[in-house]
Amino acid sequence: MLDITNLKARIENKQILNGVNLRVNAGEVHAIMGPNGSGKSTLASVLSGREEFEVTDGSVDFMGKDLLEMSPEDRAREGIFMAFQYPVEIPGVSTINFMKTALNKIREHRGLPAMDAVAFLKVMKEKMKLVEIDQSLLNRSLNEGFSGGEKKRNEIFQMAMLEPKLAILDETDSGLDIDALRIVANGVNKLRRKDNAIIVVTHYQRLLEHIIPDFVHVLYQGKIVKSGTKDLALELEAKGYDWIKNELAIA
Amino acid sequence: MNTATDKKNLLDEFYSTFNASGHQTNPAQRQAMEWLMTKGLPHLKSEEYRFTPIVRTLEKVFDPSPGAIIHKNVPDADLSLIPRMPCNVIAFINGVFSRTQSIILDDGLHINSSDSTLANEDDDPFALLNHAFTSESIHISTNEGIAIKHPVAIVYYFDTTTFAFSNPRWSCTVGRHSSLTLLEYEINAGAGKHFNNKQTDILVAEFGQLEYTVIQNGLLNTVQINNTRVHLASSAHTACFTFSFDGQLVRNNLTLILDGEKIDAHLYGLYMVTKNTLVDNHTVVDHRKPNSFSNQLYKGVMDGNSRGVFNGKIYVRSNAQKTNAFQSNRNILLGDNTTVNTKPQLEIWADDVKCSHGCTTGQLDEEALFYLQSRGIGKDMAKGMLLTAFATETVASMKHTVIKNFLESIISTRLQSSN
Amino acid sequence: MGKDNQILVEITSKEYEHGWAVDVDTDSAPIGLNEDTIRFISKRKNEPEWLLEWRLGAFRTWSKMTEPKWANVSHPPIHYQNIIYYSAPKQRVTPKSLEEIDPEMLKTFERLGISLTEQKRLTGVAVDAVFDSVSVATTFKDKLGELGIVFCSFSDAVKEHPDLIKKYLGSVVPVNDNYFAALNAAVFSDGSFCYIPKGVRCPMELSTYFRINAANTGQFERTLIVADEGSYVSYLEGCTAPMRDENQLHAAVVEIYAMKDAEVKYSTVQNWYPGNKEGVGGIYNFVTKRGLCAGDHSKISWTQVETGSAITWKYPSCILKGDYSTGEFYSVAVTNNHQQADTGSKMIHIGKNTRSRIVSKGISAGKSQNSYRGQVQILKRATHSRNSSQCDSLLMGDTCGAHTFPYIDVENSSSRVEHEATTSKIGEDQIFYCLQRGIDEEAAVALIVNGYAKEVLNQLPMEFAVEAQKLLALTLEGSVG
Repeated sequence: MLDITNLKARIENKQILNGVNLRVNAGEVHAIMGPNGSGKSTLASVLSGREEFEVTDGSVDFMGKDLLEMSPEDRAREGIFMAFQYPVEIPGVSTINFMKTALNKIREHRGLPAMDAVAFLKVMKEKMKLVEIDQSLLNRSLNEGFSGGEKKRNEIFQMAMLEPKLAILDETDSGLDIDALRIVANGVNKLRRKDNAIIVVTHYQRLLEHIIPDFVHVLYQGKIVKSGTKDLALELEAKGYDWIKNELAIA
Repeated sequence: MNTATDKKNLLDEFYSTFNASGHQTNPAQRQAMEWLMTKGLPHLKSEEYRFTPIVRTLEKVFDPSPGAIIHKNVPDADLSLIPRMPCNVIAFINGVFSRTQSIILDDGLHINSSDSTLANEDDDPFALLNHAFTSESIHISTNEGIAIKHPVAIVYYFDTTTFAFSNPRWSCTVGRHSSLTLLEYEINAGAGKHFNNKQTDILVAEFGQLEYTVIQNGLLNTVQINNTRVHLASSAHTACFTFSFDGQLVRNNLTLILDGEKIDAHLYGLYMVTKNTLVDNHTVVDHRKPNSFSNQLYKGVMDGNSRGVFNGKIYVRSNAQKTNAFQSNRNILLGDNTTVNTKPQLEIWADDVKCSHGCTTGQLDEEALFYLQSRGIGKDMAKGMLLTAFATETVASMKHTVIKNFLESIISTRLQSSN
Repeated sequence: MGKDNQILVEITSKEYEHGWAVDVDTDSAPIGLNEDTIRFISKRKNEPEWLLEWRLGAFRTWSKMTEPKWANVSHPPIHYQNIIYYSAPKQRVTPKSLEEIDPEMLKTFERLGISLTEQKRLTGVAVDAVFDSVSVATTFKDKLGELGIVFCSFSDAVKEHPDLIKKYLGSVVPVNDNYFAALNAAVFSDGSFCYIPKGVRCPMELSTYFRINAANTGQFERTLIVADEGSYVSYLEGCTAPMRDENQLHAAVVEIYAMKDAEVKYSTVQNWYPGNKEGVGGIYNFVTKRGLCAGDHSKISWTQVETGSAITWKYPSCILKGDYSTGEFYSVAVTNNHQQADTGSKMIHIGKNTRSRIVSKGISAGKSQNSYRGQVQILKRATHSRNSSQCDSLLMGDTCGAHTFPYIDVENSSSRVEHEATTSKIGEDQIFYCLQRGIDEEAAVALIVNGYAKEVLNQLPMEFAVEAQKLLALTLEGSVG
């Protein structure tokens, strides 16, 4: 589904990604871990198409198409979803209205007719249950005055609504207490299917106790330096990132 | 001396006074006077003087032939406002700079006087008037990279029993990486009236720091006009404080020009007035370069028949991106015959900026008052406490603690005596 | 919730939609303005002598006045002698039914989405359509008549309800109020009149639709709404004009008179031709709108969405004379390209315990200048009064300007006034968030701007809100990126 080859990117002359290789197949969950400043969030940003980052080398193939050639909105329409680490507030625009606009843009792109209000509401009610989110929250201005947990839950709700092929969860666990973490993780797990894939970007292992990954990669100095199964995450948790750094230093 | 009927209009009065004075032979002063004659004095229809009947008030106060003013020697102690605070002193006695009465305590601080520079044709009418009647400009400056230890007190000493027409002019340069505290006030030893029409230009050079406090405590029959312009260079830091407590009419034009990046500018004002006092603060904060910060807080506590006018303009020019400019004007009306006229004005030509202004006019917070009362504090005392808290916010960030303490005590004393 | 979306889908056209003109035979006054022009207009309208005298008085007043210069706008001098002050579609007789109306004109209104023919009428909205200088049709007249509501063209009102007109014409906006109001009083050609009797709640929205068609013509209509004790009415106003290279003058007057316990809600979606991208052409919209809360507990609420006109000069105001009366002003003003808007409100508190609220949202793009100018005045006797004002500006780019000039005057110590103003821009983060959800940039801007203006748009009746949201998006098209 996603094929990243030798991806290099920088922001304002600062090289951050130094040749990332990663292959994600349908049905898989990949975790990308790494110490602060290793380039995890940059990778997520580059995949979603943030303009501040300049891709200097490499390629990204998404379902047979060149992802890097696409505008951010086309990536979204092709099925890439980013759950933001810091979801932005948009005053006066309700989540419901926002989602209806987004969903119909995506449907239009896929040659589907626009969903009418009744059908939309029906779908919305289903997905609300999935992520345990209350409608009163969705009636309010997007993310405005939401708690950290509410913002993250809203991200997962949007993921449920838009049914992406590839979802990238950028530090979704940051700022969440145990209960909120469980709700968010449960939501994500319910959305796991054979025909979609998820990339979980995280600093800590604790989210991975709830969303069990098929593969774990360690990103360090802009490269994937180690890959393994979920056990790698546990090992990292036990030994700390210094373990990786030392190992690399020796090598 | 003059009866109402044979009174000439004020502008003509100025003109004949000018022609009868020694100033009329100085070409620069003559030019300023001519420009003023062409321009005329502001009237109530002039946008900038809508609520301030300056000409009408001056017509009552101005006396073209007050008789000779004696420039006597004043004991140093009589020039100080804050007891036991050593100061450098720049003294204007009845409007005229006195070198002998001035005191320099600190090294690196210089006082010079220079002859009149040319005014600008499009200056404010009162700036032109100042130029017409004053040839001498006093210049205060510091060396670079020096912290001037003692405040520089600019003292307007009046001991006339009749009338003084005072047009002091001074400028100040705070050198690069230097810091300076300025304190400006009036001392009224005589019971005469005066019209103090002041003109000031300040430059704060790169990384310079200036704390400038004006205390307006003139007599009830005095008129004050303060034209003050402050130019700020990159990374300069300045805080201007204006406290108006008395006077018949006080008009402050305070303009800050932020002509550099990373400037930090703060303007605080408090007008706490009673009787028939009118205080009019006009501020301009002009952001001309990117990345600077300005904040204004002006507060009014009005009693008696007083009027407070606040007009604050913020300009953000199109290349002044990433500007942060804030302004707040809060008024409490205690008396039923008080009036507040506020006009906060934002003019913005750059999009990546954060600007806001807010103003409120009303009463003390009833909830807060009740809260204090429910803790056993009597209503009057509770009111006094809340008003003091309200008013002293304007001095809260002052760095010079002696001046700050002095102001805090004036504020609380006045609030107690008004209750 | 569905309406935003529907709008975004509907946005396809890039240019001013209503910029076409139609060929309708017109009967016009000779170019220029003098007492004969006024006699001509008055005669064409078969007016009574007192009205002619009133007009002539206004003309003499106007002749002595000078054009105001204080607004933050600039334009070449207006040549008042080069304007045609009266232009009416040629109709031999006054149409008694719609069948008698020039079909070309009916089609004009159809194209604008306003159907005057019975079967296509919007249910719940009665329309008075004004074409150039005259009212061409008023719908639902009979149905409203059953309730005692008068809703008709100004010309008909002069004939059928002379006492009401005599009593209230100029009672809120006097002839000498300002330059453009005086001009209007001298030459106004038509407009709408509405009277709601005591205790009647008008069951439908009343609407006037203005269309300037003829070239070189000024439009000077006059609206008068009188709400008797305890009545209620919601009134809508819309307007469009063809694209022409010369500037056309529109100087209207709206007067609202609200008696005890009456409530009037007046909504405008102003979409006059704004001129082209280079600033050529467009309407000069110099309008005086004022409501008088004459009775205790009365309420007048203005809502405006200003997207059109080359220059807008407009300050819908409330005079809160009755005790406990309320005034409201909700405004969205969008300027793009070379448009200039100087708009805001005046709230004059005279009665005790009066309340007012101002919400103004300005959006500037392109090379436009957008100014809020407002006044809140609380007189000495207006004790225990309150005002709150919120003025926000949104800037798009660094070639436009946003200005606020609020005047706040408080003359007693028991009243409370709060004013707040902010300036902001659309955050890049907000745009990216939308993009990442598959919403393209134009749609994202429309979404964010509509969100920003929501508090005002919420005040509009449904049909108008949809129109207004479309307009906001259209006006700002091409202003990003």
